[in-house]
Amino acid sequence: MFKRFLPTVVAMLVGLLVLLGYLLPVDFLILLRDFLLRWATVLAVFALLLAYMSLLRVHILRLSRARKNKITSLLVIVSALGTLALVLWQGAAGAWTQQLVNSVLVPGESALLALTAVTLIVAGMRLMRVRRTIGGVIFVIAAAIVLLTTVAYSFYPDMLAALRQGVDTLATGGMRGLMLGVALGVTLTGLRVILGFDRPHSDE
Amino acid sequence: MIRCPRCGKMNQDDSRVCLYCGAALSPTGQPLAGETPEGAELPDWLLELTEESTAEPIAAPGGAEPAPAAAPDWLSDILAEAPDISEEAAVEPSEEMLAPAELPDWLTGMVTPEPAAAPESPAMAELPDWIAGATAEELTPGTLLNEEAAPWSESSTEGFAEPAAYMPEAGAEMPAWLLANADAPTARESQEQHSLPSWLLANADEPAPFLETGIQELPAWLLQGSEEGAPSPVEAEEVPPVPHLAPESVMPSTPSVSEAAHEAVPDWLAGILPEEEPPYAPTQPAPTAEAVPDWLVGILPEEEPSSAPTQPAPTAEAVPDWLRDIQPPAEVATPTAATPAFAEETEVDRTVEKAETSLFGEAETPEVVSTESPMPDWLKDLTPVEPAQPSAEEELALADEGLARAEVPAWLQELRPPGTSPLPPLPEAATTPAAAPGATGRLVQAEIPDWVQELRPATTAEHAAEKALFPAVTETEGPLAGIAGVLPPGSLVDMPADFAAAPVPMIPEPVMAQAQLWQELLEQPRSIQRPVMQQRAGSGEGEMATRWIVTLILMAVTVAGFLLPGTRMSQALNQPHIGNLYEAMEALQPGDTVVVAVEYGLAEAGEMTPIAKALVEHLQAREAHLVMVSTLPEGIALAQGLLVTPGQAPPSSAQTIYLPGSSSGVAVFLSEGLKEARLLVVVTARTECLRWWVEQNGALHSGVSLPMGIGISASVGPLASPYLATPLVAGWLVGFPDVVAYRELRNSTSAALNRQLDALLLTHWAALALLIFGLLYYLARGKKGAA
Amino acid sequence: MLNQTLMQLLALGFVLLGIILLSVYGIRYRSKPPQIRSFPVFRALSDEVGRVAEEGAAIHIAIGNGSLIGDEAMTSVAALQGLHALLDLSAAYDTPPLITTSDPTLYLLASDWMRRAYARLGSADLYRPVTVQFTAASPVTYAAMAATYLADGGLGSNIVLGAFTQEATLLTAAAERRNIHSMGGTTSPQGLGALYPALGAEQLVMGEDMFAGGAEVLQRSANFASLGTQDVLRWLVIGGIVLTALISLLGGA
Repeated sequence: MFKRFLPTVVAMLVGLLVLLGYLLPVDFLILLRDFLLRWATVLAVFALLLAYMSLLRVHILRLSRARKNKITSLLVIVSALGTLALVLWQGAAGAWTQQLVNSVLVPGESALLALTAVTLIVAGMRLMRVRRTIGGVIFVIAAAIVLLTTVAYSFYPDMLAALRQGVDTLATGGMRGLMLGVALGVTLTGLRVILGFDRPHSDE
Repeated sequence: MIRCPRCGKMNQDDSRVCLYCGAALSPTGQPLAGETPEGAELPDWLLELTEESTAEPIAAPGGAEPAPAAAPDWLSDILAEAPDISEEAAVEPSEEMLAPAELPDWLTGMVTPEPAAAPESPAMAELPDWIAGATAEELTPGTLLNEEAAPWSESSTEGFAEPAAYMPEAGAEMPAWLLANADAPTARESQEQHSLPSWLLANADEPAPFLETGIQELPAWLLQGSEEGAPSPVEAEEVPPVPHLAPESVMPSTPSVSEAAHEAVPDWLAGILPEEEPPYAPTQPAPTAEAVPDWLVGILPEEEPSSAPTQPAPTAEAVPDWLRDIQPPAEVATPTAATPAFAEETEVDRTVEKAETSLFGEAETPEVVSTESPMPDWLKDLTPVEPAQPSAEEELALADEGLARAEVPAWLQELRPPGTSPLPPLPEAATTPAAAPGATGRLVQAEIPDWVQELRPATTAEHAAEKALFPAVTETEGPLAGIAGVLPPGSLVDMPADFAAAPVPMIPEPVMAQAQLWQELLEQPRSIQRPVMQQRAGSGEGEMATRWIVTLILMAVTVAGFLLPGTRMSQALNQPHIGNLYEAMEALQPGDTVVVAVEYGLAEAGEMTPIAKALVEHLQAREAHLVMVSTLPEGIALAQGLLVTPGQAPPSSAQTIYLPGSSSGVAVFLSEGLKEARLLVVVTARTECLRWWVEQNGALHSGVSLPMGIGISASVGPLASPYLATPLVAGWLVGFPDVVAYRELRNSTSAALNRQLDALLLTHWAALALLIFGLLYYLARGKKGAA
Repeated sequence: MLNQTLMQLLALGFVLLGIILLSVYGIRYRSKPPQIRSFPVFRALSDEVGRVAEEGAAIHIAIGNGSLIGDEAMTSVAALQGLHALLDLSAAYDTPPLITTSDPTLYLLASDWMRRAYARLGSADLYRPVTVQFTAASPVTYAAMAATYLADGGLGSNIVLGAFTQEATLLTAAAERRNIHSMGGTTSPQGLGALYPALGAEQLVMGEDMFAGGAEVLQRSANFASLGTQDVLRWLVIGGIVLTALISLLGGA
């Protein structure tokens, strides 16, 4: 009972209340909705703590058993614990915290995001190797137009602007359709969970 | 001749055991001492059944006789297809009409030696066909022929010491209801008793198809009664009916054949029919030449074969002439190896006439010129194996103890009324499996001659397929127990004309291979040691070079954009949305509260910080009270960084608030948050964050929605365009080019920004060039370059 | 205010219609499952277990950044449903995949699913929690960390299925460097823009096709009913868009 029935009842009840809180302009439901969502946030924070400890455990195990890449795990452990200690000491607005964020974290992650630009370009170059279809050609052409029209330059600005608007219209329409379909899928999947048809929490 | 008390067939006078059913014989035809009268020991329930049964003989199903168990299927098919003998073709028998003297008993059916003796004892005279057929089942055609060839001597009777399993036990336990027919024979039964097999009588003009090769190859059994006007009287005794031959309705049960029957019989059979009721003598000498029809001439053995099974010779006066040649000299029965009845060479010199009936149902009618001729080979092949003669001890045992009781069929036992006791179990001797034919004297299967084999139906593919689809089901109970292919399956009747069996689904080979692989995996014992993965071949040097080249090109153009002197290549277009945002910011008064949502992470900070800084600096220039919020944990840290100016203390009026719970946190903040806010500025690189703020701001219930200013990254721009078009959004900045334009509006631009924009432009062009190059390269390379 | 209330009522009606259609289709498809379009990705997922088992390698599954308290929660659930057969097979042969994620709530759910896969076989003690890892809190860092696993070796297959943006390209690039077979899908256009050039047509599932994974793998009437309801609602949305556009056009004219 506690493995399947209770989690299912709780999930159904909470889901229905939150859904009704969004759909019905009833103050009580809105309050209840906000209350339940705060609880969910608290649970998410606890999940973050568990995940954080799991991360440490994995890298400690890797540090002790792995034959290679031990230095990576050591850096992870040190950085995780050090950052935790620093933020607990100074807070998010502390000087060292800000220094850490601005000097280490932001450049590092920005570099990773810049790396995605390289990988995306390389993948785009090899598109014809993976998809030798008209869709692949259209993909490259659309990407080329976007790249060509993102930053305006002095010659043919109007023509480029019109070209960009056309691509944006088509791309926007396609993306909206894609997202509408995703929204429908999300809605129906959520309804299945709320109605108890799917029970990812206790039984698939 | 002694009439068997059980089956009603005639046996030799000196026979101690019935040749057909194995019942012990007494000279008077009465049950021997020690033998219980038939039916006396039958359980009451069985007796009740027998009393309830009518005198109607049990007709063979469909008029077909059950095929011998040992007969091949094709032979059984032929035998099963014996045509029904029409009634009009049936001869109206009289009481005197017995089976012709020359005809073997089995050919004339179950005939009683005397009309009066028919009901004398609850004999088997009126046994239904299934009983008669069951009896005859043990007798293959070859066997039958052999028995006809061999005199029905005592020695031969020993072959029937162990009757068929389904044969009712001798005398005492024969269900009376099975014998009820014999008690009150009707006129029809009498007719049936005296009538010839219908196959002998019907359609005299119809040739037998398989006799196209000539009638020379008629078996001896057909010659036994063929002598025209043979003076040798032949007792048309209770011949074991031809299995699956004549229907019961035409199974003569009396040996006597009247003259009237003779007159009604076709000519070709005239010589076969006996003039008078002769005593039954299976071992009859061969008919004289003048008496044997032409078509039977040559079949008759010239002399008694030396290798013929030794049969106890009947009395000379009892043996018809036509059997004398067949019958070996009277000797004490000794078990000898059976020899073919037709081992002798016989020459049949006959006139071929169209046969009226086939060998197994349509007897041939050509006249037989009786001549002594060597026995054809095919006749020799038909000689059955002489059943081994039982030893003297066995004879005594049988004589003393009575014949073994046949096993009552299960279906019969099931009819036992409740409350009655079951039949006593069979003695062990009866349940022992049949021994070798030579040892126990049981009937053996004769060799089927070639000409009969030629009648085997061709097994066509269709037939084989049909047989495969509808295999002959062997009956398990009833009178057809042990016989297959008799009753057509119902599916054949219901099968549509266009029926096609569903093909067996073939499992594709890849699936089979996969299943075998899984099977091998599952059979492998679990071991702690995991197989070491083979080192994968990494991407080739070309792949690595491509990545490096692309990286270097991008880096090069980026650096070049910063370092190249000269005129500016890029342009920062002042688009309407930028101006609107500027206007909205300019409309703020000092001290107005502005909520700034910093919704980008550390990775997007490189692109978003210039956008956020441009807006935050403008707000600070307007001396607005800033409330920095973020739904992301790192957003608060980034927001703090936006507020801090190098060399300056962070403004005290600024607030930083973390909003957990994504959209719900936004909704809570907007509903319960600062109501005096004048503007909501959202700076984000994530579409969902923008959507939250726009949607929640638009869904405010209690208050008026805040005007919004938005700063988004270039990647979010196309996705966010529907939200940017809402009336609540005053203006927006998309990417770095709009930031440069916004700063130009504020007159806070710089050369570094311009170079940065130029570097961005060059990088875009480099990426475009690389994409076009890759497209053309792999298109030109063709499928060879495909993955 | 009126518009807001109207929108809320429309949304409520939409939800109620979805519930009704779910029930109707669920009853209808209980006895006779419908024929749905084939999704090679989901069909091939379970085959990966055997393929990598032959090599003595493991499977890497990146289930993305979709938080269970965020908008991408159902995307993550749909991804896990599509991986159901793979997880069961992996547990059956005790060759658990390496599952990585950047969201703590999704980490807990994935860990629970993997443990239950073992428990269904009666071998819950064989479950090793280290096979499910929370690698980093931010998407790009998570992708970079997962890419290091791919670069280290020992992985024979790379599955990128869930809520991703452009960081998915780091995973596919790392897999390609090691000549590791990749497949996956996502719902966001940014993620699709990153996966589209890297994966072939039969290796990529896009958009709402992600939500058909449960039907393809689980073959349950509820999943089929969901797809049928989606079809009906989609046409309703299309009709609404066209009608609104016409009204706007005519109103504007």
